[in-house]
Amino acid sequence: MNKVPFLLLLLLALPCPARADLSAREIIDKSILLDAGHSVLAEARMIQTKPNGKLRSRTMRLRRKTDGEAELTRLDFTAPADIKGLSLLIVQRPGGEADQYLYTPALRRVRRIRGSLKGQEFADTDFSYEDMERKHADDSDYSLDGEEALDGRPCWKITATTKKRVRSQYGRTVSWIDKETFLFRRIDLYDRGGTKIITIRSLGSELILGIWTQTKLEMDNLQKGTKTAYENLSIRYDGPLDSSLFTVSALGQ
Amino acid sequence: MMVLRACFTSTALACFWPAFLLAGEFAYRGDAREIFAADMRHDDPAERFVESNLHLFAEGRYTSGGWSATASLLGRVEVMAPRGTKTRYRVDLYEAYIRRSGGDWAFEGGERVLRWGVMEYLSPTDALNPHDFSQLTDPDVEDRYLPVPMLRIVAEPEPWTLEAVYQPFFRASRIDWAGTDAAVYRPSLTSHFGLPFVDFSQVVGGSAEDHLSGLVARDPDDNPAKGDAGARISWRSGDLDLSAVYLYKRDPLPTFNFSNGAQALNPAGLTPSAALLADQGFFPRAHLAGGTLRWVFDSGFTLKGEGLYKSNASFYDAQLFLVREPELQWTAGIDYDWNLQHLFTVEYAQDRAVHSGGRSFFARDRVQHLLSAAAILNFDARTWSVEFKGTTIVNQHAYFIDPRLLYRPTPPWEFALGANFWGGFGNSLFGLISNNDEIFVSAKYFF
Repeated sequence: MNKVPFLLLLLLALPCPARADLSAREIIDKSILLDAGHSVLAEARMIQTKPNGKLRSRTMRLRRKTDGEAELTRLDFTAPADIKGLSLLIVQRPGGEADQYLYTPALRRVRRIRGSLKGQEFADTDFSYEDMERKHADDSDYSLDGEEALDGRPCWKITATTKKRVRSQYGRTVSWIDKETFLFRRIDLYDRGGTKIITIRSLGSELILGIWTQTKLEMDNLQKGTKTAYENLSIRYDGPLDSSLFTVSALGQ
Repeated sequence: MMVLRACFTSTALACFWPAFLLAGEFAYRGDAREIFAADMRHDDPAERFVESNLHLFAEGRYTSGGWSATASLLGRVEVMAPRGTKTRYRVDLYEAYIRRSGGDWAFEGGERVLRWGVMEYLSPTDALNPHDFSQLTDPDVEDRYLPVPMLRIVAEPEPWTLEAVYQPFFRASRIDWAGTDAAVYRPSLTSHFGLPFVDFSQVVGGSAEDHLSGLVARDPDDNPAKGDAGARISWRSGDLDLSAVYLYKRDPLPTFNFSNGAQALNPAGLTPSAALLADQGFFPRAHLAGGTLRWVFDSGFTLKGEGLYKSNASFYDAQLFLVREPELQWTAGIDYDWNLQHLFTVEYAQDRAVHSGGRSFFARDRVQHLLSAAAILNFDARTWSVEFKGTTIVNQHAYFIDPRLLYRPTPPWEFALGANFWGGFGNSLFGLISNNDEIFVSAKYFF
């Protein structure tokens, strides 16, 4: 897996009996593409620990739905007040680079996030815009590096190397994927120069309405010296979501 | 559609409130900002101000299904001291509109501010709304847009966005003529024409007397009661965004035309009313055409371009901006702006031109070549930021400098220490307001 998209960490899915003969690519496909419901509405909290020890908490609402072959995701910050109203819309269509649109309340304008801009940090968090979207499995080459137990659970260890033609800030990722749930338990992210820059750990997962869901994550940004804890406060699958929420003109509304 | 909830539910409230009101969601946001500013110089020592500005912005939105209703207020309290202390209160309805959306279309109606530009400082294609020029040194430039009643329809068939806007009522830009920190009329520079505005010789150039002697009245057909309209089409592909804009609308900045004997307009030479000007048709209508582009490079830089042209040749503006976008540890950009842009337009005509259709001519020295630079440095995970913005009008030796230090100790609070410096030849845009230099401290609280 070239990298695990942050949003999808919430959505990864159904229990599936592990098979010994799966290839690295098959494991990745199952991990990325497991059914996560037709729609998702989640409330989440992110607490960032700065290098000086100060804490910064943010809460957000995440909405995702499928529309034909497109996957539409909208993320709205709800607190604290200085970031409230900041919204990100992600339109993911098969075979192409995802479009992202950011609405900034201070400027009251929408701008499209493309190409090199996706490597920038998103809304002053440890996550980049690239972390917000699903990546295509075809963008990387995979190798199965064996099996390891993590927190007492058996995992596959898989290395994904990003293909040269693909625009990504990450050159390589190493993932530990739970053999029972296909949820990841840890991911190490390396930059194009081969330096490890980020580690993400799963601190909790639950079976919600038959869907395995990450409920707690922790990200260490080794470059910035910051740490971000992510926690699902609530999540609802397959509820109604109005399509008109997922348009550019609806951002800021 | 409002459907009354049936009365056999358990609460009395539910009997009388439409179902969609009960099912919806209310959200709000806003900020309060206090600015203390000290003028560094002024024409008249008696007008040297210490100024307090309290700004309050609050927005509420109710959403239910595909409907939403939005209302926001912008309030200001301005106190100037020490001489001739005066207090000015102003509370404006900033926006108030209803939106109905479904799938990839939306319809809006009400008081609205629309921003079509891609620049971060007074984008030329943001031409739908008038501006508030009564707060020239307001640090939040986005608050200078004034809402206008409008109907708007949007369609978004990927990768296009199509918009059409109709404004049934006209609203002029807001200008403080005299007596405030941002006034454009300088009592100490009363022109020998007795006119109530800034020294005309500075506006139209050194030969103003010659021009004014030939002024004629404009066709009063430009009635502000007529509606304005505009449309935009946007297209996105790869790393490139393009848009084209067309408007047929009235200029929200007044154009001053004078019949023979210009003094008759306002012999007292003081405080003219915008209504008087409007009645006499001083907001000329024109076709406006322009567009924007935005191109993201792999290097991390973004090239922005924006231009607007007005058919009566009173205005054109083209900008190019190369920038590292915000949300970085650092941001920097260089902007080149080539425009003919007036705080005011003074139309004067030679007899032959007037008889052949009333075309107007403008002082050539009003063409401006602006070069701007901006840089932002963030420290300690954006707890501290240093910002610098500077603009020079190259051909008029004019400048505007805006340095600022920002401190964000905890999320709801933001403190700033900054300054605004203006200067240049007297007939340049910045020269006209060069006596507004100030230093300021501010505290902003978000809620």
